[in-house]
Amino acid sequence: MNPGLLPLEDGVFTPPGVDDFKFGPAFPGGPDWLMWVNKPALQAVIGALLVILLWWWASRNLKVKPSKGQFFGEYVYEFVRNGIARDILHHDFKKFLPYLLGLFSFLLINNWFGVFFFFMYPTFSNVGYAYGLAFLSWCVYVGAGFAKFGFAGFLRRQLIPEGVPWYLLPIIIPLEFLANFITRPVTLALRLFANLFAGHLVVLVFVVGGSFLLTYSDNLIYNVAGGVSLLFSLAILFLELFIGALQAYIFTVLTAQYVSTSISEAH
Amino acid sequence: MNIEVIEQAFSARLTTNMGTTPPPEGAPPPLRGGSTDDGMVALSYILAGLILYGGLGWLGDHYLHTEWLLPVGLILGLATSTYLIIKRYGRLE
Repeated sequence: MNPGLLPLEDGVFTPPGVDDFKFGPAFPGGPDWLMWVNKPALQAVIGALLVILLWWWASRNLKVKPSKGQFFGEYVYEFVRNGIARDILHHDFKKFLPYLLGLFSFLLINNWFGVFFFFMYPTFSNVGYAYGLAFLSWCVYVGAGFAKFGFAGFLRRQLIPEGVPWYLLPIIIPLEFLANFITRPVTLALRLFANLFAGHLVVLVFVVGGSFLLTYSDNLIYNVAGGVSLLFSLAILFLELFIGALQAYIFTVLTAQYVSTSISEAH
Repeated sequence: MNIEVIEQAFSARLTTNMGTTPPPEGAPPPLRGGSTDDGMVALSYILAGLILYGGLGWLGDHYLHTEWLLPVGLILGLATSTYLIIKRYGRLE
């Protein structure tokens, strides 16, 4: 019997870490132009296809008396339309609704990939994907501002807040630039990435460590602890389900909020 | 979290026009209940202030071989951020 209290530290067991988030090519031995495709890339493409397919399916054969599927589709659509877009963007919400709806469903599906069988990996726990999506949102809210107020007008609105005395402007303007154009998208991306990365890592710790302990020979206490840990990982997976939906909602709400601050008439 | 959002989504579905009626023109925009959203927007200001002026202070320390510019920069950055947040969001309706 192992006298150590911590069997996980004797060198046999490698705890889950950052290396579990790195993937090789998804099609080893395939043609060279497919070598860049790894698991997250494949998941992102599948997620996008699923979004297209689900909304295509939800928007055809609409009836006055909705079926269960139509009710569900309309419920999600109206949650984004009324709950997020119209609530935040008021009169201008229609232009941005397609982007917000696509964003929300794409995020939701990709976050739930981390919990569902076969995938078991949230795409946005890979920071590059989160940066990409945040860059897209950045383009939308900056582009909307430029389209509405013109280049100089939008910059003046974003960089010079009302009621600030002129002698403070040299301190304020660089700060406003950094806050509105750089830290905003970065925090948007990092919030999404960090939540999913941490959540997936916790699941890995419980599942990998639990199964190691469960199959540890000649030590009943370790086996029981491993079993309990595996059972508890189910609770963590349910928490992940919630966090995935919450982060999709927050990302969409904040995108709408940024669009709203760049196109609103008065601050 | 945001009860109003959920309620609105529900009630919009349950009315006969299924939420397709635009809000009345000229009506004041409904007050947002989501103070959490504003908090998350304000976060970028705090970070920006700390990074910008703290960073400038750190650079100054590095090249001028002093030790007091970084804390001064951090405090100045935080103060400027707070000032900006009050200017942008602190107006009472």
